[in-house]
Amino acid sequence: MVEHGKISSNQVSWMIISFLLGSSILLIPSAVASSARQDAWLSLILTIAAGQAVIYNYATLSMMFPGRTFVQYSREILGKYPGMLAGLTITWFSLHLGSLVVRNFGDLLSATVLPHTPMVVTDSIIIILVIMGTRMGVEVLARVNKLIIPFIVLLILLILVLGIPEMEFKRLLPVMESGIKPVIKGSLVVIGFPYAETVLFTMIIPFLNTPGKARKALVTGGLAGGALLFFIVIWTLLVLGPASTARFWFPVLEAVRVIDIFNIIQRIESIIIIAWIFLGFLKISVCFYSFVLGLAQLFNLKDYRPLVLPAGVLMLALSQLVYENYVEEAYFASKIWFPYAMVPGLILPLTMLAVAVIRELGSRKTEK
Amino acid sequence: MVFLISLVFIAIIALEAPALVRNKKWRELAAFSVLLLIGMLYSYGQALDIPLPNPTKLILTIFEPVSLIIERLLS
Repeated sequence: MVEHGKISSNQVSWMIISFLLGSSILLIPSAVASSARQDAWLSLILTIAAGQAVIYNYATLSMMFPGRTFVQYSREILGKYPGMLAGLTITWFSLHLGSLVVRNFGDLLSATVLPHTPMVVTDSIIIILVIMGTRMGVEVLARVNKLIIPFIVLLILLILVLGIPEMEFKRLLPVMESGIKPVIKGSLVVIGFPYAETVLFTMIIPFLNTPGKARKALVTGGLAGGALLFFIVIWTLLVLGPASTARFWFPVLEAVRVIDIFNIIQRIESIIIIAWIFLGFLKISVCFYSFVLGLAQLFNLKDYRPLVLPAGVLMLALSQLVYENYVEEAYFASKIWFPYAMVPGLILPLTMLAVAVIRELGSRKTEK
Repeated sequence: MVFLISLVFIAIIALEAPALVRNKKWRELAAFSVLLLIGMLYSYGQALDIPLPNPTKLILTIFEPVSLIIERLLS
């Protein structure tokens, strides 16, 4: 339709990995540890399992309508007006999520490395890059991602290894001290953020050059991203301990600060911030792309590119006002996000899958 | 600040609108304008401290009760 690029299933897997890591790497350890304390790693295991179900759900739905995005097939499944409402929900969700992630990164830079720079300046630079990338199309985004992110992941793993001397396994004890309920509470946070958000990939997988591999690519990426999140959370717990992890704004950053090898390798938190900026850029790009593509398809436009500039300004403006302060941000991300994100992430696609199956729509060769 | 915002919007219009008008892409122009208008609303509103509808507030009102129910179920 409006996009002529083609992406490979490998690129999709890497995109979902960087999307999952995106802003979660900043906020997840703190959010989960405040509910589950030292059992946060158990929460992650639960989450990965549940997250696979979420991904499987919308991936199956998307594979029934190859070559069409969520906005396009929602009209067929639900009818003209409910379909438009569903498409609008996803489009709004991508705008909202994008502005929240921009805000997360603006907060990160303002709080850690650029305290005297107004947040709107750093956010503007990120948005300009996102606009440029989106304007060039999904193929460019996928390729840039595939080019950079493997190195970023390697870098993060390297930093995790460097932290091994600081680890103390007794920080994970006692296991399941308060029972299973806090573990479940913690896992809900991560199911909502980031797994439910990956539903935005329903706007991207139509451009696969091998549509039959969509679900496999997404599930593989979902597992890999989840595994990485698991390692990061357990690493943070081991290096900092559960109390500190729950307390800090960016516990991974604080944990990296602790690393000091022979007084030579120290203060390497700037490296991890650079890594995060790449991941954040990719996540914002996916959200932004999903937003403008969704808008273009909702209004039956021939091209989404003219919308890119005003949409960027809108996302930037929204990012400045969505939270008044950090407390609101932390509360929203850890408590409110899960029920909110489940609507477009699970409830909506599940409903549409059910309706599509009942009405016998779409191509049914779901197993390939 | 208002001056900078105005510059940005003028630049955006100058970059995109002539091409759209020349190629007679009226639908795209309409969508572009609507989006730009909302963007302007929120940008100028923030610069001039005008209270604007905040989506966070709306979502809080709808989903806070749900979150409280979940909390109660799991503690």
